[in-house]
Amino acid sequence: MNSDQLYIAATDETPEVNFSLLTGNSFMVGRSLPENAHEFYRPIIHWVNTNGIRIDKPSELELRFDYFNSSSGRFLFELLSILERNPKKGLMTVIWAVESGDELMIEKGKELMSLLDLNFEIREV
Amino acid sequence: MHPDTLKYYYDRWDTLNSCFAYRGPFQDKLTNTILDISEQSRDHQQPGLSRKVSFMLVECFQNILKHSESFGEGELPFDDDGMFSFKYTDSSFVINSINILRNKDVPNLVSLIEQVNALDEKQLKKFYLEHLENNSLSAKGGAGLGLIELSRKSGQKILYKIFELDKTYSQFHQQITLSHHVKDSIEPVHFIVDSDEYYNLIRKENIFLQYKGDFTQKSILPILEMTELRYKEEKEEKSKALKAKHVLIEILQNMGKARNFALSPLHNPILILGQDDHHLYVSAGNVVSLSEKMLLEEKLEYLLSLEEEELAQLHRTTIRASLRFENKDRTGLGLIEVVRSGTEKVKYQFYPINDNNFLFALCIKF
Repeated sequence: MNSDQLYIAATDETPEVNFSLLTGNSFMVGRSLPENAHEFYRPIIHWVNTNGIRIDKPSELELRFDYFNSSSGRFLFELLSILERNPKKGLMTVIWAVESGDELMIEKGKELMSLLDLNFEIREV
Repeated sequence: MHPDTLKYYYDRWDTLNSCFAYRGPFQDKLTNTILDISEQSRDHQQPGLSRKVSFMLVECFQNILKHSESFGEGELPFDDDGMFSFKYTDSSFVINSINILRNKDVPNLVSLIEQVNALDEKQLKKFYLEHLENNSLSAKGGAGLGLIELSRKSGQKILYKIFELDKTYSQFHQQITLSHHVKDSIEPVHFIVDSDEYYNLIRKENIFLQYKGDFTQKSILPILEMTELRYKEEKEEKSKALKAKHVLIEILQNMGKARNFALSPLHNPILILGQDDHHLYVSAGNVVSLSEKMLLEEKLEYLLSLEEEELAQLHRTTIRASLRFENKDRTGLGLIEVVRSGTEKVKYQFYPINDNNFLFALCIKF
């Protein structure tokens, strides 16, 4: 794990994670249903807490989950709360990408949006 | 579905540690899925037996596939292609499968099974090699070498029943039995009648999947795959199916976490998926202690007393508050999400199973 980039490959139960300070664009894509969400999200939260996120130009954080458990939601909220505290957050847009017709995921996105003061866009793909 | 129905199946399977039944659709990619589910229940088995179980599952499942693929789309005037089920009893591993075949194929199949059942181990080997060499048994659309191999690997007679459905089609019910003790040559226990009755029951109730067993993280993905496959083709059902999948994750993970290891595997959790008046439903049951029952009852009664917006507000408050929780994996969000997800209020019931434990049955409709 270096300070420019955090990359975690996807597994059957956890998403591919790519947080880059070089490009500013980051993503989490795949399933997120680890039995112990704390174990999976702790290093990600630690990395974002330590390195912050580069926001010196318009950038995107894409979140695209096929499946999602409630404890993942809780840690994702924690992660986004860190970004919310960044003074340059206005330059960043969180893209909540969902499968077309997946009402529950759209609803989850809207709920997160209502809890956070971030640029948030729900995109049906 | 009412919690009483779940209790009925829980009681029906109270002598089994683990069992599984699936009513299609049957597709090749499910072969691995079936293996993944069965693996949850055989950690205790000898490696040799476990390999045999895998072989028999694949062979039986692909036999159903061959039959269903031999029919053109929409050819069959029936509401499904049959059933694939397996169970672990005290003494054996049993596969009961039901599939449709053409009446004209029945005589050859019966003749082959009778031939195979009449042979001993050495004769079976010879029979197998002869047919392998001559390629005299059709591999497509009917049983052939696979049946001989099933008989050789299981060391038990193939039990079967054929029921004529109409002038063109029959239902073929097969049972393959593998004793846990390799040298055991006793007659296999006959589950055909029980399995027939069970099949007719789950067809009537439109249940497409039942599983009783050890709900580990590894068993969740295969169950999700089967749910997805079942509703892939029905667009109007897609949104409901996606919702059901998300909730299934919560339920299955909770069942896994809540498992009481002091209890016998006969009290393993049970899951039922089906359709009821165009609605998908998920029913889940697991055994809880008296104190867990009291806590769950209190939480559920409170959650069920809330209106939709109040539940949404509670969800927002809980997720905000969870940032301060010490145990971040136990926030209670899962139960709130489950209660919010149904198209009608979730139904639940506790059934006493002994002095200290209760079956907690939960039913959600989407």
